[in-house]
Amino acid sequence: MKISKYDIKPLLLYLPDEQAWIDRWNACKVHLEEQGITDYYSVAGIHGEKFGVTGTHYFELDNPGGKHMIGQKYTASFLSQYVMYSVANAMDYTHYLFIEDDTRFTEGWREKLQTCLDLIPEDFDFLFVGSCCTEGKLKIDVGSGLYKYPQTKGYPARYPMGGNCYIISKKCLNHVIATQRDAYAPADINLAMHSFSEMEVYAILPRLVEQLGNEKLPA
Amino acid sequence: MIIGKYNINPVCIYLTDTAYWMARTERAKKYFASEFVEDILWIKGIHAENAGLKSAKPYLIDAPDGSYFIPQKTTGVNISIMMAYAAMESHPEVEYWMMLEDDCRFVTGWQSRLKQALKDVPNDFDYLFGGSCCCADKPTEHVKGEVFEVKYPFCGHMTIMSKNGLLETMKRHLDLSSPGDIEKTISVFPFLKVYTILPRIAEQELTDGTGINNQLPI
Repeated sequence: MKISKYDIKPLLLYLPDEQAWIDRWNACKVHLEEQGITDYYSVAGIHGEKFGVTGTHYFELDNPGGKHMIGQKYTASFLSQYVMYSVANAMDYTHYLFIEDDTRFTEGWREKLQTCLDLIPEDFDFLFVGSCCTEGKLKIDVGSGLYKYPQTKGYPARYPMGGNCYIISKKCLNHVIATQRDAYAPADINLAMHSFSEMEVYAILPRLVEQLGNEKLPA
Repeated sequence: MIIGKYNINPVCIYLTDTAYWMARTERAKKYFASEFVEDILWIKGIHAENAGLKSAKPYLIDAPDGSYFIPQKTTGVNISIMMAYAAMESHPEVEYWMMLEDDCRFVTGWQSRLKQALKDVPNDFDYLFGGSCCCADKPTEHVKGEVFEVKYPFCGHMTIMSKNGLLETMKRHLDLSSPGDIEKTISVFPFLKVYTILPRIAEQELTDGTGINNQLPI
């Protein structure tokens, strides 16, 4: 998919394990075709329950000593994102558009994305196309709805959340794979806590996609 | 790498999560280079203990009472193999893969034996085991030369897999509650064309890296 000066390979994450998930994948494919995204490559993710995998580490960042675990679904979601990183790293494109199967592009997304990609510095690593929970977090206005997030560490993470649609550069994938080693946290918090502090991270706000059935997600 | 009429792409899972695994990976890289196994697709796997992962389903194949779960290490291997399959699938131009474990150590003369085995194995093979174990008590038919049809070998430290073998395995190997080699004998191999080179042309390194594991059953 050529947008601005970038040749971006769309990767669509899906689950092949149950009819409901296959239906969701098919519906997303129809939506992508309607949006003119035809060169996507589908990547099968990890179905935690079917595969029989779960987490053992506590997520206690927000409640030290609380012994909370994120559960099988979010553990599998973390692993599915890791599958995406591995696949993207094995392919030969400079940039990827990661899409989860509930992503729905909003009207005018392509023009807005084009404008932001015209503006974004070429060394960018990560661009949130979809996001949530951005309010109150320090950001630098680049223009035309594009924002840069300064490199920070620590909790609470001062980056956007959500991982249903983003552009990631190949040059950062070895770093991402090397830093996403613990499945204790959901994939978005995990990236913000362990990877983003050494990456060039941007977001387009308001977001250019919604999640099907979750349209009231905080901005 | 070209062997006979086959263009085979090596792939190997590795870990760098602990000093032990980093050393093992370094040894593997040097070793494979010394054997002229080049252009390997390296896939960083998942260290289940560090990642905090375990099996959530009991292993039932020979422990039907549901009391046994495979160890974390085996879960890590299973998930890592899934990562490798997904990366391999993204290269549809590759017709054959050489799946290597980082402890694979070839025997003397392995290349000429593999070349001959690839002449002897039927053209439509899905799996050709170069490294295997536990074949001695399995139903076996001689095919040609050193190629046998064994139903089914264990281990997987060196296997040639066709594209069809990869895609069918991904379709069928969806339960990670068992060790991968055992699970495949039930849910994958009966649907594929599986052959084995005997005696095996690849051994495994001892876990402490001091030599070859001579105790692996035939």
